[in-house]
Amino acid sequence: MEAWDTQLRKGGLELAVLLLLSRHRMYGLELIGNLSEAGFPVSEGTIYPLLNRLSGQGAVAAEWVTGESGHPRKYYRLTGTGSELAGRLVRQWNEFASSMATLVQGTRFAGQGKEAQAQ
Amino acid sequence: MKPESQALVREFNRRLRSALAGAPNHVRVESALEVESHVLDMLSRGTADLPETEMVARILAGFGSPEEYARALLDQLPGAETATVGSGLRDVGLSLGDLLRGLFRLGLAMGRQVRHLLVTALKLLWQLAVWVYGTVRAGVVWVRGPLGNLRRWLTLRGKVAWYGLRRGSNRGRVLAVAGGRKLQGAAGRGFGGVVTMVRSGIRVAEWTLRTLRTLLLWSYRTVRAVLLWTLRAAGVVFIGGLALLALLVGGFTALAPDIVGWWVQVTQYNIARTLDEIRYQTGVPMSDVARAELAHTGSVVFAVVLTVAVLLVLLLGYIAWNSRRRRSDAARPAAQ
Repeated sequence: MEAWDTQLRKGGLELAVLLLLSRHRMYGLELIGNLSEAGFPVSEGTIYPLLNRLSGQGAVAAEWVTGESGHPRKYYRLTGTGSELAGRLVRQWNEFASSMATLVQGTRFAGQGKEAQAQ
Repeated sequence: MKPESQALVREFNRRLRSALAGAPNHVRVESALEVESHVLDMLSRGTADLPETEMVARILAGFGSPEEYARALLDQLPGAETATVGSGLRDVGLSLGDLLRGLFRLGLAMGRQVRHLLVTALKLLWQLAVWVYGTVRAGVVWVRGPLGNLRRWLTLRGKVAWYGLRRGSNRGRVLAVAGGRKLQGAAGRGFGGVVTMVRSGIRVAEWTLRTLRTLLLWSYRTVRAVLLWTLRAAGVVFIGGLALLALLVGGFTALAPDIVGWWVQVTQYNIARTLDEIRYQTGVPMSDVARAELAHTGSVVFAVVLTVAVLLVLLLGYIAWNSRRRRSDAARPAAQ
C-alpha cells in the first residue's frame, strides 16, 4: 500500500514542481518546503536532479541571484515550454482522475477519501 | 559556517565533482555550488539545538552519497555516461578505453597529491624561516637587553652608593627604582623572546607532523592505486591472452585438425626433450617407457588446462557483463 502511494507521488512529482513554479520563481529549499506542505515529501537527492532534467528540457530556466541571504541562490522559473508541458500534464491528470472517479462511483468505496478532503 | 562544517561540504563537493567527470563543466560547477547554497539556506533556518557540524552532515545525507547524487544527476542528462570507479578484480573484463581513462585519472590524482605535498613543504620551510628569525631575534634581545641593563644597574649602584642611599638620599632612591624598572623591562623582553621561540617551535613540529602524514597518505594511496590498476591491467592482458589462445586453438581444431595433431606431437616431443635434459643434468634414472608416458601425460594436462582456461574466460566475461547490467539497472530506479 505504501509502495503504491509512493509510486503515485513519484509519478506526480514532475507535475507538482511545474505547478508550483507556475506561481512564481523558487529556489531549491523553498520548493522542497512547498512540496512537503502539499503532501509531496521529497529529498534533495530527488528534487535537484529533476530540476536539472527540466532545465535541460527547457521547461524551467535557472538563474543565480545574490539577495538578502548574502550567498548566491539558484532560482528556477517556468518557461513557455514548461507552461505547455504543465498544461499537457494537467489535461492528462484530469483525464486520469476523471476515469478513476467514474470507476469508483457506484461502488461501496465511493464515500472514502472525501472525509480527508473535507478536513 | 565553521571550518569543520566547511570541510564536510568541501569533501562532499570534491567527491561529487570527481563522480561527475563525464558531465559538462557547467553541471559539475553548478551542482557543487547548489549543494553549498542549499546547506547555507538550511543553516540560516536554525540548527534545532544540534551542533552545526552534525546538522551539516544530516543535510548532506539528504542528497545521498556524492556518487549516488552524481549518478542521479547524470541519469537525467541525455547522452552522459556515469564515470564511476569500480573495484579492481570485479571489473576484469573492462575495455582498453576504460583502462586508459582510469590511468589518466590516476595521473591527475597523483598530480594533486604532489601539488599538496609541495604546498605543505613550502609552508613548512616558511615556518622554519619564521622560527629561525624569531630565535635569532630573541637571542639578540637576551644579549643586548639584560647585559646592557646589568651594566647600567652596576653603574646605578655606584651612583646610589655615591649619593648615599643608606643615608636616605632621595636621588639615590629614585636611581634605584629606575634601575629596577629597566631590569624588569629587559627580563620581560627576554621572556617574550622565549615564548616566541616555544610557539614557533610548536608550529614547526605541527607542520612537520602534517607533512609526514601527507607523505604517508600519499604513498599509501599511490601504491594502492598502482596495485589495483596493475591487477586490472594484468587481468585484462591475461584474459585477453587466454581468449586469443583459445580462439587460435579452436580455429585450428575446426579448420585444420591435422595441424593440431602435429602440434600435439611437437608438444610431446618438446616435453620428452626436456625430460632428457633433466635426466642428463641430474643423473636421475628414467626408463624410456616412463619418459614416453610422462610426455603423453604432459600434453594431455596441457590440453585440459587450455580447455579450463577457455571456460574460465567465458565465465568471467559473463560475470563482468552481468555485474555491469545489474549496476545500470540499479542506477535507473535511484534516478527516479
